[in-house]
Amino acid sequence: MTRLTLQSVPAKFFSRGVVEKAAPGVFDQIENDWALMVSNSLADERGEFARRERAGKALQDEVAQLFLEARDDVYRYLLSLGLFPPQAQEGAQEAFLRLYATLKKGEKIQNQRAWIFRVAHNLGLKIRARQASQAPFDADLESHIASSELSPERTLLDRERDLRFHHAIQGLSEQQQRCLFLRLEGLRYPEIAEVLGISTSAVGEFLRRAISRLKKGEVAG
Amino acid sequence: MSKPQMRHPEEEQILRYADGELPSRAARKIRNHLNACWECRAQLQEIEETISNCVGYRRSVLQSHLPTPPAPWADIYQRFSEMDASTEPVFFPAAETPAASGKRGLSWLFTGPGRWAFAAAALVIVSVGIVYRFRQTPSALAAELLRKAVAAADAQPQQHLKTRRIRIRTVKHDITRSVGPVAEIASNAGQSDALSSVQAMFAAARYDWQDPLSAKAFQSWRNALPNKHDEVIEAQDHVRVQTTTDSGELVSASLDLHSGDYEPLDERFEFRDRSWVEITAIEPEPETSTIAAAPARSHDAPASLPSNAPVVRVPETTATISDELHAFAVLHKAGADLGDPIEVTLNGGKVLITGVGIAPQRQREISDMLATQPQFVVRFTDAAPSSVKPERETVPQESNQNPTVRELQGRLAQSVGGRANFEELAGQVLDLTDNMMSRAYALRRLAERFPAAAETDLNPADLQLLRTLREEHTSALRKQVAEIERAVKPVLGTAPAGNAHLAGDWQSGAGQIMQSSRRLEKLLAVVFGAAAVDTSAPRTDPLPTQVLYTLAELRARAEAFEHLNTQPPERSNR
Repeated sequence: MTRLTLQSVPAKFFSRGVVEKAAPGVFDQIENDWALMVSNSLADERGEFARRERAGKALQDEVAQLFLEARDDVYRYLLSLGLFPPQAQEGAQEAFLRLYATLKKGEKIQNQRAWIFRVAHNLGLKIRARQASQAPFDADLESHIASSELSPERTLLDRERDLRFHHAIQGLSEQQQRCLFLRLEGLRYPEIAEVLGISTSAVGEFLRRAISRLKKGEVAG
Repeated sequence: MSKPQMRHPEEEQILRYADGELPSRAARKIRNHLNACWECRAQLQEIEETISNCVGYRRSVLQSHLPTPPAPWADIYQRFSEMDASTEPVFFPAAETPAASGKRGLSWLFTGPGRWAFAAAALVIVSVGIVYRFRQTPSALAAELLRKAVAAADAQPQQHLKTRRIRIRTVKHDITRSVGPVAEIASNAGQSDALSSVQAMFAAARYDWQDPLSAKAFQSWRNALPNKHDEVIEAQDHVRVQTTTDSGELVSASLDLHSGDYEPLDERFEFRDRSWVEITAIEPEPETSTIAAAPARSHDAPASLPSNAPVVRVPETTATISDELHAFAVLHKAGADLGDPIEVTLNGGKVLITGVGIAPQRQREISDMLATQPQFVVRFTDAAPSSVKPERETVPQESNQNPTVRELQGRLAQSVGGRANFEELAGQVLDLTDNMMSRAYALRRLAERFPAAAETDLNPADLQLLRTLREEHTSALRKQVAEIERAVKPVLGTAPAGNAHLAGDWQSGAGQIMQSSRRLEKLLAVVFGAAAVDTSAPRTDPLPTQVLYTLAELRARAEAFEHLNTQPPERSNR
């Protein structure tokens, strides 16, 4: 162990003579305290390291598990924001890496899934702003549904129902869609509010309108 | 007819009520109103229908028709490591520890005018020193572990004298060889060729081939490397030292050491040409000298059994772990591996099947089915009172309960239409739980009797038999879990969707299934009144939530386990 002494402190930090004059004996005291600090810290180092290794691994496992569970949902949410698939995938990965970095800093996150969606949402908006054009989420999806194959499990009726519902969803305002999609991903009202930067009661109102319009759309269809 | 207690709530209130977003008082008011008002209940139902249409849309449109991710998902662990390596340590708790410990002595520094600068300077220097030391530590730790493991091996000279067997797997071959004083003899020409090709790879990589599965070999290879990067990963029962390098033929090697005695368990080597080799220790077979003497002793009952215990069959040949597996299969066929107090052990060259307190009729059935194999020795004894598992009380007890549980049960009873119905449901759930537990126990027993190392001694047909046993228990377990979910749904609600990833082999998967099953059993016993609440439990979630989450966890684990069974055995290498 290298013993830290006062001499190893670069002189630019202070002038020894000035301080010694102002407070006699101060340097001995500092030196003793430093020696104590350093020896304590290095003695703890081994145990501290083992603890850190374990904590670090558990943290990695925790985030990796969430990644496995939620990455496709986040990716699809980013597509719905108008990102192209490669950017949406990159954005989704990035959100999980940020979660890891944040947890590693020791920050506590109550609902990690909601946190991921919040970060992904903000990232998504930034990426979308940089894009020259917006991915044609709705139109592509519609043509895909319309051309989907029929099978004993998936009848013409199913396809029509899906198309009708998709039209109804398209008819919602952007905020209504956002609230609905986030609620579908399991986020609660206050969490949605935080993602979108609106009040909880606004979330309630957007969701009510969305449900109400979808209900009518169903009846009309 | 009683009048609705309030005027019709707004649609938003009903939606918020359905979403559980109302404060409890407001929610209670809405609930009371809904009980009374058909109109609003119909409105609620319409909302719920639209919600399920949305869920259907998510599944059948968003999940099915949106483009799939264009690239495979990144190895997230790899990205974590890159982040860890590229940034300064994001947190270093030790930097707080010394600050705290030093504060006592340094506090006077903060009192004088302008003296904070010294403390700040001190902290900067100490922190830099600590960060520097910390960055050194994985290598230091790896070196220390290897040193300890070498010392532990040296301390047991008989280990070196005794011949051990190791299993060597490569992309193309799966061979075993012995290490130690006895010269190795390859059983056939093919094995010998394969061995010499692996030996050549090790020679090129300058890795000791005399005893490759040893800390010493790993240490001397590692010490000779000019550049290296170490990682130390701690698992439940072992610790892994992983060293990667950019020099030499061998680019990465990892050695798993048993946490307790530092015995090498297995190793994985990755070579520059992307080939790999895995080496695993094979559990030593029972001493052959005792097996030779065994037949004469097998007539004597062990001291723990009464001497009048009937000996059904005398072994003629030496039984192996394969015979033990077949005994399990026979018992399974007889349905005797689910809670009957029957033990199967491989002992002195025979498979000993002992049963305690089994009804005579059942004894005969089991003996008859086991009579097919000469290696099986069956012994039945009368029940010793202490060894019998006490019957769990299924009648809900009013006493020894805390008020929260009593309140919960009252609520549940109300929701099923009275105490009598609740007790009936409780009996049903607890029966289902018993069946579920017997499957979880059966799986764990298989995992204990056939650890990964022992599996290497089983032939493909045996491995398939073992897999079939697992599959049958797993599918039965999943069925029980689904029935429990169905049974509790009316009172507790639907368990959330779950997703589990079981890392490692099926044996550890069985352990995790056991964990979840136990937890679920305990929780259900509390909710349905068969056990007192465990006040020492640190969880604060309401009981129903805990039950539903544990159900979801067990369901997901069983599903992942089933998936694991269908996969070929593979070492988890992360």
